[in-house]
Amino acid sequence: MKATRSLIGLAAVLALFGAACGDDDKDSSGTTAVETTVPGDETTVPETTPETTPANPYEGELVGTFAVDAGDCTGAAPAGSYFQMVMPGGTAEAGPFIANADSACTDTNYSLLEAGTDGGLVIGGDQAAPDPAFDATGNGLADKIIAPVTFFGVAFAAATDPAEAAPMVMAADGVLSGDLSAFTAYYGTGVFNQGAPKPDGSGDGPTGTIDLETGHFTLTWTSLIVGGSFDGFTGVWHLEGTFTPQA
Amino acid sequence: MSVRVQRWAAVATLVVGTGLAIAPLAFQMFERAPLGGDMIDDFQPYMTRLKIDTFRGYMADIDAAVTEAADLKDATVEQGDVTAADYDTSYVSITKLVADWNTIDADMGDLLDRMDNNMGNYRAVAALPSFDLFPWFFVMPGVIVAGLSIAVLVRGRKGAHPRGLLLVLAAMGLGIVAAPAIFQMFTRAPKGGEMIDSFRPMMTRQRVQNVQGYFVTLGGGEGQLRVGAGQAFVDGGGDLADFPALATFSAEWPTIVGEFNPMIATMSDNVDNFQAVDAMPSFPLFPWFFVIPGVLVAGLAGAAARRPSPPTSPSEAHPS
Repeated sequence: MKATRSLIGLAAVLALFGAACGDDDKDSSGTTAVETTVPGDETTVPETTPETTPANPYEGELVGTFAVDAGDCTGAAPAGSYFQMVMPGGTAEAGPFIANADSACTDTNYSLLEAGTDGGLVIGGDQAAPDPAFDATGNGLADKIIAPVTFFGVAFAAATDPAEAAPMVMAADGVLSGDLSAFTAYYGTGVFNQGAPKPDGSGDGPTGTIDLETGHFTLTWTSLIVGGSFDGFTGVWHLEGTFTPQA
Repeated sequence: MSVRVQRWAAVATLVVGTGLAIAPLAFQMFERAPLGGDMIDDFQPYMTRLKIDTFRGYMADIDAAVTEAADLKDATVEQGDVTAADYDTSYVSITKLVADWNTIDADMGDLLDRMDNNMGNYRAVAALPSFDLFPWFFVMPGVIVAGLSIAVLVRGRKGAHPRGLLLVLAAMGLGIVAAPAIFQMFTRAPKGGEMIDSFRPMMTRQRVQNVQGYFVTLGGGEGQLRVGAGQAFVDGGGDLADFPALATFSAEWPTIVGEFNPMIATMSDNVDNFQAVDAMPSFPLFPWFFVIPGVLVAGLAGAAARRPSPPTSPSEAHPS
């Protein structure tokens, strides 16, 4: 009698488990349909997917290249992409910043950025630092996202750390958000996480905008350096350019 | 030796052994000692004569460059294109470097002196058994002493004289006494104490932030000398060959950054580790944490191990 009850109970549990798995399968198949939908190819798309397919390539999870426009200081305010370093206790809005004598700007608080060999930040790409990450004098060598920038006579470089979450950027009605926790700077033989949010989830993620017609974007984030020789300093990153979806 | 004295001795050694075993918990050694080990490991690359001399060499080169930076200002002003006040306004980072250099030099020199003066102490501490094992040096003998003491009590209750166990307990006590001598703790631990005392003023968050700030000043000054003031002097008809220390400073600067960067990182990342070690009992006391309990255990067990004397009272003849 006891064995019979146990068998019935087991059968009930298995039935519930099977039903739960069945639901998950439906959900995941729906997700796959959305991700593999080809715009304009209506004949091959399941009937359930059109309303969830992003109609605009600059909406939803953006996979592709955030091409970096070079920074420019000819105007009253810096344009394009740039970097600032906030002193401990300061703020991204008011500083105080470290003045970089190697900056091309009159206001040396800004260090201008230029596109690297990949053209910019590639979501879905491999942009890890090379090994070794530094030359003999401590200049950073990573050059895929941005070209190394001379800062205090030593070049800093940026890459994504494969050990952290893969970079991800979302767009909703022209507003960008995401996870750039893997973003890392290399300077003077030191490695500094410059992610947003930080790998432990603290801090804010990147913010920005994207033009729904042209793909022109701005992406800004701040990242507190925790530990190491720049403990307590904060990096301010501003990337600007044009997003191109992955083909 | 009466049964009562044996029992009393065993209870006393049980207390001593238990005290030894739980001492690491009381002093949070399981958390703090490994942090001390991390600090010792992290400082290893910098506690060498070669590294300290290299750093001192950089400081001397910067000192010469700062002297020339002041001369460069005078020479530039003599060219007649700028006033001294204009120069200071145009090159605020150079002005700050020249103004702050004596403070920077003194403070950085003090750091290097402390590291230099403690190289022997550092080697002595590094030669001690792994910090990770420290708590177990208390726990293991403490547990053994407590276990033997319990065995003595149990056997005594059964009416047998636990002479053998007591002799083992006494030997254990002598081993605990000998341990500090074996590990040369009497000479090494005080050196560790000296190092902790000497490092205390430099292993603070404020001091680390000061050093970070010095490098902002140095980097800013170097950059303006190289990019701005030097070029302006040349544009005014001057020859930078007259300022060789400035060229040396700029040529060395990337290397200086690359070498000081990890040292500052080591200081910064070990402030908490240092404070954990500093919160442990004073290093010179460590040998006595073994000697005193060891002597107690050996003495008590040795005395109780003496041949039993005839019972002097009915209660001793028939222990409950």
